Amino acid sequence: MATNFDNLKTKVAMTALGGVLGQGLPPRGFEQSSTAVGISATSQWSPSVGVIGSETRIAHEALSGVRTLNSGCYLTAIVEGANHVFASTREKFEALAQSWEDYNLGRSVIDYHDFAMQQIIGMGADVVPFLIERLAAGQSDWVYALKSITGQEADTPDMLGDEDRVVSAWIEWGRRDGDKRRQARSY
Amino acid sequence: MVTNDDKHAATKRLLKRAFTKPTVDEVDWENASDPKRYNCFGFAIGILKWWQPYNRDRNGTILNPHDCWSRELPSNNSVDAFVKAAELHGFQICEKGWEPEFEKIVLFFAADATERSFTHAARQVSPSRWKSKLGKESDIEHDEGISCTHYGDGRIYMKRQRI
Repeated sequence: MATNFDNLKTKVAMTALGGVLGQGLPPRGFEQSSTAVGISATSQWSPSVGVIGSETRIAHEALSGVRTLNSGCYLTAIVEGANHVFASTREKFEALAQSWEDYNLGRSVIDYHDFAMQQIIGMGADVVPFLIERLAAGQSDWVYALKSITGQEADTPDMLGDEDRVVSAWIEWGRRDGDKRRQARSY
Repeated sequence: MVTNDDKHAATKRLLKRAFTKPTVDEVDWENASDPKRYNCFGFAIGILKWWQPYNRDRNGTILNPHDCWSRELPSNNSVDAFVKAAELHGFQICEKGWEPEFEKIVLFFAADATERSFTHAARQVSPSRWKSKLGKESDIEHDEGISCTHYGDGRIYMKRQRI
């Protein structure tokens, strides 16, 4: 889901207010569908949004943009020059990834510096599982984002230019990273 | 016609969006390859990899190790860097024109006041026909007069002896 940022400010404020008051119910009209820059989906009410912290913090987030729970990742993005708010990190990632891929369509040299890629890297650890998924689907370009986000080198110098080995190394790294995340959550 | 299950759908979308030549109708789709991850330069020189200069930070860390390049080559997207890459594989700059005893390629570039950026490569397959790979999309056969908003007006021809 992507929707116009200005329109959603009010909705976010209403959502936060609903949570502060302990209602746990979606404000009326929040479940609307929206379409923007060719990305379409249905908004999902998340009852947990209302219990993320103090009233002050919720009010601040309602006014300044939305963040996911337990994460520093904002749900806002500038896609194709327009401001949007997304229902989840997954939807924000998919919209930015589509924008980046579309921009690079037909290009003989990939532009890794495009703003859509910078925003994906800025999403941080939250998108690492999505990037690993894309690697596993044969989209090796995402090594650039993985390396930038994690600050790690799953690939070794002897793999340079060997796409299959580099991708395999990062998929294996992703499997181990996933195990660590699951262990951390189980404590 | 473009359909969702058409393996060339993205290529057709690209042609419609950015090309004045060839048009979708001018391409022989029966003989176009499936989209795969090698680029036009790899296709032109016959080494099917994604050839792209390494993106290094100031300490030399390479952020795109999955791409194919050589440490000896310049890490920039200039057409001169790609000319050097082709020279490493036996090509030399030459004049345009069909010479059956040579493999001939053309490197496209876009020039502004400060640099000449590599944009595309194609290889000649007959006196009037060329083949090239369009980004990550299909490779197609076309006349020399390929025209695209991405590719610019510059041309450098190179050749090597056919084996």
